[in-house]
Amino acid sequence: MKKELIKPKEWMKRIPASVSEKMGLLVIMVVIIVFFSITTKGLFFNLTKMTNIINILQASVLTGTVAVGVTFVIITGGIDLSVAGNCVLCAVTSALLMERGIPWQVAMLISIGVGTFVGLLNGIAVTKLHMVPFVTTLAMQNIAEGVAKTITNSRTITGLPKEMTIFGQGKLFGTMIPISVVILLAVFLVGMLLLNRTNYGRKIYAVGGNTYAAWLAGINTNAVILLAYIITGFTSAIGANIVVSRLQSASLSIASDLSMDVVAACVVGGTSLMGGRGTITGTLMGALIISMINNGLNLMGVQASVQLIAKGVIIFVVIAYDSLRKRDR
Amino acid sequence: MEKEPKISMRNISKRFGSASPALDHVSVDIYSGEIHSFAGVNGAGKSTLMKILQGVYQPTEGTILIDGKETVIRDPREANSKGIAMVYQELNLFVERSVAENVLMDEFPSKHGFLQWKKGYAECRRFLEGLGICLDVRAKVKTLSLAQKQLVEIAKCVKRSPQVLVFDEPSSSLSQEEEKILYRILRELRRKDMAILFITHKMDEILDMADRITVLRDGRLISSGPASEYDMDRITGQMLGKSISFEKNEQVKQFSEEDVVLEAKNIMLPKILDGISFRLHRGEVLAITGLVGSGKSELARMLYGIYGNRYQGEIYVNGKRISPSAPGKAIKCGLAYLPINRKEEGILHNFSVKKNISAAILNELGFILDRKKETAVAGHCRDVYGIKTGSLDDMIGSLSGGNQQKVILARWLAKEQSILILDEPTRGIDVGAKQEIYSNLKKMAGEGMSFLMISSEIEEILSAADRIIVIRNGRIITEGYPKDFDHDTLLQYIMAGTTTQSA
Repeated sequence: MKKELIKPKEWMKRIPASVSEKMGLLVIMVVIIVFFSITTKGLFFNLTKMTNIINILQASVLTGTVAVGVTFVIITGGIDLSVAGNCVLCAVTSALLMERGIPWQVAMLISIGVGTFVGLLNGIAVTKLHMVPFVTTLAMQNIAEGVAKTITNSRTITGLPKEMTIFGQGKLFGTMIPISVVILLAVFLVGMLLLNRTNYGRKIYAVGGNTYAAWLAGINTNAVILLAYIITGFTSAIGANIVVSRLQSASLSIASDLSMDVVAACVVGGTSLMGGRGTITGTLMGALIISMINNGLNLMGVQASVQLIAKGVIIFVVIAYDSLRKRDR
Repeated sequence: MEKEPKISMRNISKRFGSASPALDHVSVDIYSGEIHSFAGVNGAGKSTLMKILQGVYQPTEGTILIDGKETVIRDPREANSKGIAMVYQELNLFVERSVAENVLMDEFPSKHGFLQWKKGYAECRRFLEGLGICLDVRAKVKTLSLAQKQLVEIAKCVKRSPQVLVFDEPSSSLSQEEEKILYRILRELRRKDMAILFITHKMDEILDMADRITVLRDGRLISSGPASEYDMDRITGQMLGKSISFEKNEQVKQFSEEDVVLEAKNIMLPKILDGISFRLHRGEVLAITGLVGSGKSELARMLYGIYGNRYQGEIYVNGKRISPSAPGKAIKCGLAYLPINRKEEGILHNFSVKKNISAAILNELGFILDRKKETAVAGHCRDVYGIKTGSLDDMIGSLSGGNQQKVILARWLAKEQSILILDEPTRGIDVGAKQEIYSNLKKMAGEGMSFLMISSEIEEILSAADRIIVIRNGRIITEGYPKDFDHDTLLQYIMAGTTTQSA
């Protein structure tokens, strides 16, 4: 006989799935906070001295910004593994232009254009050439990273204008809140509105749920998917420029582990890799969780190699949970 | 019948979700050395029953006895090991490999781990010749015709020398010549004391070949017995269940030239449609019927732009020439489509009822979605079609099949499309929901909507349609009003069997 699955209690059924999923994430966050607070003797989460909390928030800016875009792509049923390469390319483009004396505002705008263009290329490959997103974007990762290495000769670009550090190092009107975190919140809000309140957002879910049925309902599925990749390119460029602004320099190593962290943030946040399901709020919480794990393990003095294992295991477990739940239905 | 049945299926029931059961306490005995034919219209439960025997589905209730012993068949591999093999309609061949490799599979002769090609080819050639199949055993399967592939598939299954062999519409893609080969193989296998189960839609095939006949309808066993007890009338009568109160539409609606909303002229689609012309009028339900493979579904899909520009011929909507090269374009011309596979092509399973209804009007709702309007429109459409749902925010999957189908209809009502192409609108839906859908069609036709209804269900056509077109091999065979046909004459036109075979 098949083993009976544990039935959810009656009261649990009345809570909408979207809310109960967020509750789960909140519980995970609390568990992580308690765990690291104990293991780091309070360093991890000190409400009187906000330093580490702000560190965590700041460290989640790049992952979070990029993950907002990637959430769009994953909900369509695709994936974008080129974001790390794209970020590096955007960062060095920006920095090289500033080095040449081009006004930093212009340099950043051009860099954002480049990132968006890389997204466009991904989108065209997937929609017009019917290439598989996984391999397409993996190839694009190599191309973007290669171009970045070539144009910089693999050097770190430093000595960038002080004025442009406002996005990365600035604080909001004398408070402790970093401007970069505000930008992340802005990207998050726009992403959330786009996905929840607009017809484009609805089409994203329709395409991810059943591309063919969406096409038969008259939705221009190719345009919807194309735009999702463009959005990802755009948010990648935003994230990259914030990092350049924070470091006042650009190097090839700014986005190591980024692709993995971003996909992990989305998946931990409840976005299904099968497409059709996921939220921006979940992704943001996912990004915070990843950032907390990275930070906590650092504070504990865990070796980088062990950190890698820990993160891998966490992602593995979450994805296993996701696919098991799928099978039960 | 002192013989013991080889397989005995006892009280088999199968339910999918909350819909009416696909099989309802069906009991059948299967004997060795017999060809056992299963008859029934689409959705009667034949395929479900075979899939249970094959271990693809598990029965909700009931038991299977093999040689008198109670047995559980968990998956197709286990079915194979118990001597039950199935020739699938959709072929399971390795198209890049040779005929011999496909037929012999893991029995391909080898020595020290190396394949012995010559020996394998010779062995396969002998085997095929024994069956009377003439094929180049070295040819890659992808170079074969569909019918030849079918023969390879059959040979592959026979090679495993199963005790029970299931055929699901084996002759649907065969030419007459190849059919004869198939029949000879079947008789040969019967002589070898194999039990052969045979699903087909061709009446003459059943009467010619079967030793035993089982008729299913709406998931229930209607009758099962020696073939000598059956004739054409009895089988069709039982398949269709004339007793169900479907009222034939005796009215003849009169239309004039100005009422034509959709006109197709000499439509050709390579190898499928061969010069189809018809007119659909405002407020009319035009049924198009024919066998599987006659081109009726393809006609619907082509009109909706699914085949892009691959067709030839002219299509007019309200007198204006259109060229639907994608669904989006067809929709702009006022067409709508209700697909044959509701689950795969119709519903958006991750959406609520409301969002499924509004899926085609997202642009009309504005970039920032007008959610009040969305709810209002969805509520209106729900009321018009009588969709039974707790709330508009319930997930589509929680609805019964009939109500899901109404949601797709509602989607096009919301879009205010005037010409609906319905491909088997009541497939897999229980009788009650069917009647509701028919009355909905009648109501909407009265309000000026036009329906092109692709259907293979006789009662449905005779009761719900205003006019009927029968197509076969991509050509129109006959057309007329329901009053011009009765069950048997319409069925005969569809079945292509004993009636006049036009060249």
